[in-house]
Amino acid sequence: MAQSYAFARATEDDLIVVSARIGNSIVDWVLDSGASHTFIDFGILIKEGYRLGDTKGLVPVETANGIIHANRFDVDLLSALGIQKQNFEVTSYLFDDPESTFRGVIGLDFLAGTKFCIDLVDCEITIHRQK
Amino acid sequence: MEELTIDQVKALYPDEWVLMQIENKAENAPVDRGIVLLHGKDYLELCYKGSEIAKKYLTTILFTGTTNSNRKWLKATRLPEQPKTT
Repeated sequence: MAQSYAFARATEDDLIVVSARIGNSIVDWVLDSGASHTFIDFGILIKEGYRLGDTKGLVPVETANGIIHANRFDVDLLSALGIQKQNFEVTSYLFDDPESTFRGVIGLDFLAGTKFCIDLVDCEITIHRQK
Repeated sequence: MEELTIDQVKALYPDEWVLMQIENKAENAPVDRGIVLLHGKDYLELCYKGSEIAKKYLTTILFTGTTNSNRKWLKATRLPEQPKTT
């Protein structure tokens, strides 16, 4: 069964931003089909009650500002685009631009087990759940 | 507490971080209104305080200032984990 979700992309500078829920927080995330993993700003995890002591360990991450070490956390619930993941691992660090319009990045690990189509003509994401 | 639109929140608390309680939001629908629980200039302080007072509420964090529209997303890539030898 397929489900479609609209997104707004007014200019070529705009990213594909979708609304996701992590715990009890609604967060705007960039959908990045070129990202292997899902990232979230550490401030959102703090708000959800996670602390550095909850980390599963550090992992090196290559960013625009060079290589940093980010923490891995298992979050109780992450849902977006009709997909729900429980005890899902996210990679987290304090985003260097806290005033950006998004607070996370949805990567391929979140989309695993689905077929998805990004329609840039009609600005629509269609998710086909695997049976 | 009164429910406000995003425009009202931006007018009341310019250039601040705002933690808002949301009700009845459809999946992937944009947040357009909510109840202001906290506001301030310090993002991390708001996150820590929010974790204490808003555990049971569906919330979002909003920045009411201007963002740089020309800023582009540059990738963040997890690299292979290498065991430390020392």
